[in-house]
Amino acid sequence: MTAPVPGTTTASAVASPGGSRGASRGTRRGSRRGSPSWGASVVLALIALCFVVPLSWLLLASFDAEATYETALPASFSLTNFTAILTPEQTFVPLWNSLILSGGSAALTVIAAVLAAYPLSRFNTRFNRPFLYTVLFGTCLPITAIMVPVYSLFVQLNLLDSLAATTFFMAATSLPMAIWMTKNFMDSVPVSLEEAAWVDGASAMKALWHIVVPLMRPGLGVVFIFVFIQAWGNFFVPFILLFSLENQPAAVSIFRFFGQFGTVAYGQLAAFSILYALPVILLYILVSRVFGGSFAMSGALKG
Amino acid sequence: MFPQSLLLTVVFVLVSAVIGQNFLGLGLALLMRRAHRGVAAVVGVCVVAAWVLPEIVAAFVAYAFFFRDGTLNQLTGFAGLPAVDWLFEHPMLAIILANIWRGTAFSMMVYQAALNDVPSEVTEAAEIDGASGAKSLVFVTVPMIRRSIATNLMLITLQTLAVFTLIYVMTAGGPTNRSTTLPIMAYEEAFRYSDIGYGTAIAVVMLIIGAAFSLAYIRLLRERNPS
Repeated sequence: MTAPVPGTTTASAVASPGGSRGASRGTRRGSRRGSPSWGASVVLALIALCFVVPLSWLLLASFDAEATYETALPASFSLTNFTAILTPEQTFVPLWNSLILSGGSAALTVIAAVLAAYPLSRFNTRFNRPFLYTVLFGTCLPITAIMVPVYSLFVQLNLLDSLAATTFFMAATSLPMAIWMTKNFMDSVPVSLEEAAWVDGASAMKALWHIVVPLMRPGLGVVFIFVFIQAWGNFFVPFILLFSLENQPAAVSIFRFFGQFGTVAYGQLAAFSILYALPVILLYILVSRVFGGSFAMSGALKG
Repeated sequence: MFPQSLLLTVVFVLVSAVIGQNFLGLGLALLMRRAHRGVAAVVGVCVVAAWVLPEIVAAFVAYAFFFRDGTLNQLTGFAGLPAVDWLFEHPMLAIILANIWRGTAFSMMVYQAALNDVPSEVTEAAEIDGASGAKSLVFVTVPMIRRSIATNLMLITLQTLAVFTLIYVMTAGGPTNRSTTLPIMAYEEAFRYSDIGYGTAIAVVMLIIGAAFSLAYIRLLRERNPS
């Protein structure tokens, strides 16, 4: 098992805000060998093409009033798909539910993760290692494997189809990863500042909220966004736990474009997919630009 | 039914994650260091795009791509090949390719970070000693990023083991259970046929498979470690 090495990568990723993505870090350590080769560039471009081609359908179909599953340039560029779906029940309510689920679980997760990570980061007890390994195990647990027992639990507690309960459950599922990341971020905050606060008579909680948390704001931002993105894209959990139309988040309500009348509204499906995907794409760009790249995440993963 | 599902799950994990995502991700990360900076940046965005999308959207996109009248058959049509109903005739191939398409970005980013931490002096020294590119990759670079490889393999294996949405949207386990991996089967048994006990049993088997894979990777990590 990879031993919990204090997050060096995390620290360096966070310590350089505004540092551009991965490539620039290369100049510090392992630089590129020799001059760039055209062969590599061409091969890369071909692979990238394979990755983009499937996505082109999504974009083209959303602007095509007569879209099918074929990728084709729209006969006429139209926004009818977007105007058709911009109704409360089609788009706004599901997106609002998604926002409650993801924002709620991200906020809960961050608060709980800070409280859990603080003793793990600051005090050396013999429970630290076993605890962190348990957390790591929890991170790895396939969510599909625990959904069946969780469903029975929700049935017994009479919590099915409750947005609040689902929010709490999603917060719980993302907590292991969040504790792991938060601990790594917290390790990079020097303890000497808190010691000064303790000398001045601050309690541990006071030191945590007034000194540690403000110092690790960028790290907490990454954790929040990370949990938010995961919850926003989560299909399986709300699919199992929520079933009434007014409670469904966008991930589940997307199925409304199928069935019912036997036909599939391809164009509207594509348009809705784009609206639904847009927030996480923007958040991802925000993380990679402001916080110094996906390496804030992969650094936390290294742990 | 269950043995077949188990086999399909193992095939799905091995081919799409351990072989597909892992090697493609490593290959992309290596190529990006040799390619022109601008090209590498654009390629990175293209690969990550599929990964950033919510999984249900990615699943619909993959469905549209492999559908009978979909993009893939349009492309093979241009090449003069007969149309193939991928989702019905080769359901496993379709979901494996879709999972590689969606998940490779993660491995790519892990390996980019790992390769950036390999000091260039080491590979330069190997080259001066006469090691070819392939040799220095296998004997110098790969051992140095061993930890990242093991961690990455563990994470993508467990992620792929749990893939539900992609398969559920693309084939729903069909036709006639030919792509029913364990998560799909657990769902069907527990929620379609209301056999919660059987569904939970399948879930336990999934956990055991995940634990077995994880232990194998930990072994891998230990054995190569100079003690």
